[in-house]
Amino acid sequence: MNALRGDLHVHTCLSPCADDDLTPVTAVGLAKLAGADVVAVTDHNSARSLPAAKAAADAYGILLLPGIEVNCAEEIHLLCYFADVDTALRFGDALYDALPAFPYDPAVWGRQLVTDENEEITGEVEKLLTGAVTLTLSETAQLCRSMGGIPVPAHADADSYSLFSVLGGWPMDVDFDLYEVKFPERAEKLIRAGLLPGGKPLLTNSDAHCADAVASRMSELGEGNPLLRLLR
Amino acid sequence: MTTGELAAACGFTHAAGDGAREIEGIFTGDLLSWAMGRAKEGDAWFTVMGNVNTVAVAALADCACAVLCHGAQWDAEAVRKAGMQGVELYVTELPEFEASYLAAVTLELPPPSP
Repeated sequence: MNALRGDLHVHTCLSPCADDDLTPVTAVGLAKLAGADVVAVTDHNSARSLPAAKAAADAYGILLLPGIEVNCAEEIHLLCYFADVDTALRFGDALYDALPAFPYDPAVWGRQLVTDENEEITGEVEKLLTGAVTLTLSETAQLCRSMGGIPVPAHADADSYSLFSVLGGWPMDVDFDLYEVKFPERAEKLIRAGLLPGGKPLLTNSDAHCADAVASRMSELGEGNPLLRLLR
Repeated sequence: MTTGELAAACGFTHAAGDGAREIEGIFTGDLLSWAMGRAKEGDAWFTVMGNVNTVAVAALADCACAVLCHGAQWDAEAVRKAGMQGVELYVTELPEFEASYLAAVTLELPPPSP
């Protein structure tokens, strides 16, 4: 398989912090227009935008990598990718059970819209999706792998919700085959300082929360990238 | 005052170490990127982060001990690593401020200047 290019970290209107007009259909369509081969829709702790994203990806002729951005118990964000939407939905159900029922006011946090392939709103999620699940980073990675998925630390070098900010660097109790970085130059410094590991494939994605940002940054999945296994 | 004496006075539960370390100050905080370079030698460190990485940062900073607050539990790997690296660990049901405050009073630390 030749190298694939794509934005592997995109939120939709399901995430309370993302714009309400960024439906999964819009997100996938914008990635296609930007020339991406593949797009990953990765909402906070939920897979419920993925069925519409999959329908759009099939219609537009772009690969969908189903994903979820989990907020683990330590408040570290972990991207979990799967080979198919149904598995991601089952993983999302387990996460929802592990989410605290924190009082949620859409006026404060933003709405959590479930939409279909026609961009119609079909529901809203009740629990706040940006909360931390009760599963630790290593427990989340283990659950993801047990379902055939690949866990990838999100924006590992960032100032919040990252391996670096929370754990001070790479975790000592769980390993990952690749990771996403937010600032490649800073990540390079952290690698030189021994706080993040070198020699692993790095992803750089948009982490888009609005339409303008979709596919503004893309990752290259070269030969041997572990994520290619999920796209075959 | 030693770690063991402070723990006895404050009701902290022992999780690892021999309790013989002398305490010189207190550090309170959870994000390890902030603790690195700020937690000092001889500090009793109050946190809710029970991950093994906390033990590594405490060892590097040469903290006197780390106290897990709010009834949080140390990971098994953290306890194992603490035994290997000679890091003392405790737990308490108290929130971080109350545990830190109680320790500061017990240690008779002077209030910081504004």
